[in-house]
Amino acid sequence: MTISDPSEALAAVGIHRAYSGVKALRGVDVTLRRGEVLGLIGPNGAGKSTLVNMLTGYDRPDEGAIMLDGTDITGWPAHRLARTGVARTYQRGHLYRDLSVRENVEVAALATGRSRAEARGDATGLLELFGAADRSEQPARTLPHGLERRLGVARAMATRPNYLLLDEPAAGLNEGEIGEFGEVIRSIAATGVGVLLIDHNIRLIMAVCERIHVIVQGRSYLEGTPDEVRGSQALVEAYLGRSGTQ
Amino acid sequence: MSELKTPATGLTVGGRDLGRRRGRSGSSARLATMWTLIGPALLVYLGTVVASQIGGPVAVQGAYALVSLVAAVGLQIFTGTSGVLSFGHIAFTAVGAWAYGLLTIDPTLKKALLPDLFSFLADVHAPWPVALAVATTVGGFLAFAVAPFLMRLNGLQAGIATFGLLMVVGQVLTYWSSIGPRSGQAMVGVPADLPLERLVLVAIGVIIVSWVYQHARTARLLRATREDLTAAPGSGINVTIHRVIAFTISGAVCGLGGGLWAATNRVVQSSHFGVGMTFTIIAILVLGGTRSLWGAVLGTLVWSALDSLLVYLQGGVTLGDYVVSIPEGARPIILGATLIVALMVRPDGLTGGRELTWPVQRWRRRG
Repeated sequence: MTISDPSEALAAVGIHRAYSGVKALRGVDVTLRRGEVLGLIGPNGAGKSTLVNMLTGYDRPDEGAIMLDGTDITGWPAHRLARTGVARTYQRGHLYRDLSVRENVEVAALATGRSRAEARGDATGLLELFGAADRSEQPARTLPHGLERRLGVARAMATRPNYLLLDEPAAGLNEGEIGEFGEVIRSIAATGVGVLLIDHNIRLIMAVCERIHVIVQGRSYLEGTPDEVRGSQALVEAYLGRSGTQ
Repeated sequence: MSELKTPATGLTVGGRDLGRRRGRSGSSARLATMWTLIGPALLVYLGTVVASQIGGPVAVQGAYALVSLVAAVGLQIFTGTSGVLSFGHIAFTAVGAWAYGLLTIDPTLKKALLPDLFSFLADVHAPWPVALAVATTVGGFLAFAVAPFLMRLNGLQAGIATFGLLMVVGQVLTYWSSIGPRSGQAMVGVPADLPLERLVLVAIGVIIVSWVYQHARTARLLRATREDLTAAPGSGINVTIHRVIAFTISGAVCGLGGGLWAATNRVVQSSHFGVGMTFTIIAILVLGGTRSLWGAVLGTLVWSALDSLLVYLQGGVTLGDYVVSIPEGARPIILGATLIVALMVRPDGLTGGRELTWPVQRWRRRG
């Protein structure tokens, strides 16, 4: 892991957000540093995806601020954040379905300032890395589920991010695929990218994260190392006993 | 606010040269790419030669087909690339036709026919290339001016908002006699400067413009927004800007189409540029396949050929001892039914929204 300047972080500070009166977030403080893998867990409806939307410019908070490397970026549009080094994936994939696998990655590189030749080179490298090189000319909609998830990450990486937010990237993957995926996440973090990982697979979270942040009912609930979180009675209570076997 | 650092270089794989494209060799890929331009252009050229050889009403139909082609290619640049519907592009065609008419009609005739014109419009007179350039500019400018308002909308809302533009423009052109004839009357006396051989060159020029656009960075990014509007901003794509660019180019091409229409029809009247023309162009594009230039070209060709055939049959054709004819008024019924059947069989249009593929490669694959 690289030791990084503490000001180099993507942070949510005191975030509140309500949708037609229903409070989705009510006091979240999270800091994602470069080069680390931070797990974000919590029961369904705790506000995990809402928080990712805040951090990536897809939504803006009612209260609180989003800070990127010491700069207040609250209210910046998503495309600007993507060009400034904040990338994400989506729970529901959201691939460019009728474009080729290669084009999915190339457009993200082109849109974030790469030349055509650079975009082509980046795409080739990323598709190789994510095991989609031999399908690069197929439309993205023809990919099997596991590759779809990986293409989503490859596309996000094509923006050359400093921070990568993964919203349930392992959903629907089998055990073997999840193991490989964990390796990929760690290798991405090793290049100095801060990775925020949301997933319901607690084993994956425990295996790859250095710190875990728990949110419950829109609030930051506790944060610690996997061991600290695992030993916490509070976590078990937060999940209301759901997690006994996981 | 302090400037943020640009993101670090991404991952690399073992120092290999990753800049090479896999798959087909460079020259054959280039040939296949060029064919997507040359194929449609060649077809349009040959079609025009045939129409011109047959002459008579077929040549006239051919001229109108080339005008439709330009409008369809213009609409395809926006709708095909962005996936956003537009029912308003004929507004750009209308202002293009207006500009062309006002610039080319003889000033003496203009003063008699259009007495209320602004004096600078009454006196101005320009040769056809200048008039076409102005028609293009006016169409593009109008599109650019309204784009920031329209381009924030999606789906059917966007379509209906563009239709609102068509209504406004239609009304202004009908009643504002300082820029045209009095209440809905016709502008006549547009000179016949654009015979088939010139029209076809302009049409091929438009095909080239569209092709160049399709390969530009902005079009590639806009196609991604068409595929997934949620993911596009996350990839760093500013959806509005790329839509505005496409809408402006598209409006300019439709404005040019209006100029061609004025020169071909030689009478310009606001009632021409309404729902009928709007839906004919949309039908052509949907029939061919909205997502490709080839779709716009093939759609125009098939639609126009069928329409010409039906006009021909209405007049009655003698085949040996038989006279084949269709009843008066059956033409729209047959056209409409053909459209329904074609879309049931090929919902993505005749081309499936793909560009023309290089035929040699297909043969090789079969062999």
